[in-house]
Amino acid sequence: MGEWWADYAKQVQSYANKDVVIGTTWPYMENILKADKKPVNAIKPKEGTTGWSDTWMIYSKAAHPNCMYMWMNYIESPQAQAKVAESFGEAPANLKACPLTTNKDFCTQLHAADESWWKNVYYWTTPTADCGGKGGTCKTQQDWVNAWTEIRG
Amino acid sequence: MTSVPYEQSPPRGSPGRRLSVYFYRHPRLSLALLLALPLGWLAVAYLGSLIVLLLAAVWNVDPFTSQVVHTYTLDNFRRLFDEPVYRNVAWRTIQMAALVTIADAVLAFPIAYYMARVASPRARNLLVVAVLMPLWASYLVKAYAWRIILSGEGMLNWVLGPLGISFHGYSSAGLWLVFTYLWLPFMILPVYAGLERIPSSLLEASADLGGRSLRTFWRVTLPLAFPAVVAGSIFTFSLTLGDYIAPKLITSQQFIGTLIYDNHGTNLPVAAAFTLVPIVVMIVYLVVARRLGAFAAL
Repeated sequence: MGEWWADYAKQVQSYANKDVVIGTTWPYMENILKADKKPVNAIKPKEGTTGWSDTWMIYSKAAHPNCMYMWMNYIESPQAQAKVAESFGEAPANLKACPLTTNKDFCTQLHAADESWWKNVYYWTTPTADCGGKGGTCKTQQDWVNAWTEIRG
Repeated sequence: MTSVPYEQSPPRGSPGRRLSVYFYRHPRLSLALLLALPLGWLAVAYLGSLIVLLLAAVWNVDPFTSQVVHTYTLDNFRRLFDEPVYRNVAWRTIQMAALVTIADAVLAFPIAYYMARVASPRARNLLVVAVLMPLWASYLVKAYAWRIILSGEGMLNWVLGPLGISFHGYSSAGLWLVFTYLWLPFMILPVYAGLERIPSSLLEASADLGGRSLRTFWRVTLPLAFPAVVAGSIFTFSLTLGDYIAPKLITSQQFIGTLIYDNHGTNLPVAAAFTLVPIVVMIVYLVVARRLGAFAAL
């Protein structure tokens, strides 16, 4: 509460200076603030929360396909997954990364292996006019962006 | 005295000499060739990209990928008129630009006057460096520094605290302070140049005719320096009108720049249509500034 945030540095500073006392966040900002010993805590409401999976995109016409495969092998490896997950404060996709994190409780804290935790995490999707093929008419991404512009005034 | 080295120019009839003679006889051609590169750059890279951007305002977007689809529509312009939010944001931004310009003019005039008319040459050089110094620092660093100054627990409230004043920094007023700081050098320099150009003889003549210092200032100095103030205001006004980083950092309010920025990824045509607002405002502003003699003062 207090201001909208659009970049993480702004939000971290807002909490650090007590300009904001409550609001939405990402685990990434939570980690930074807790590492700085700021008195903050993040909770997941019992109604659930939104979430997303970070993805790597690979160019289908890469000039050096072997290089690309080596990269894929590397980034899927438990070692690389542990580093990426800890850096961004996200649960690793590859559970073999869990024993390799520097913080030994990392995967427990993020509920990486706890399937019931993820039951009410609603993943981000692009809203489409056909409701993602479920039938009926829905608002498009542009409608939501326009609504957001109008709400803010 | 040695003779002028005629032998260095190409001999008669040589290709170099003929080319040189040809250009001499066709002065318009040599002018056209000289200007082709800078004018070409201006037309293609500068105006061309602007036109491409404005053309985007009549296209649609694919609702799923947010990519621009080349089907003609005027909906984007209709939305600008129908939805009050765009009018409010444009009006808020123009007001901000006007208030920042006034504040900068009021602050810059005494500084520029001191630099041009009072300070010793040595002090003047130091002041010019001091005015230019903030321009050497990154804009982002300055904006973030102001965000920290304006914070509820920041320096400004620390200074105002003992006076019993609590200033809400992340607001329009805070943004106004930041803009006024950021663009001040752009006002000081033209006003300084304008004041320096006023011949001392005019001020002496006013004094000879019985004008006291205040009267001389109102009747001679200010009217002669006014076009320079208008010239500086072009910078402060237009820079405020288009900026999106400072508003994003300091406030949660929407301004022309932030609204365009927020839309450019998901709905480029709406952003492009809204670009027309600051362009039209600036054209009107420049026409008025020209009438007030600002271009001659630059």
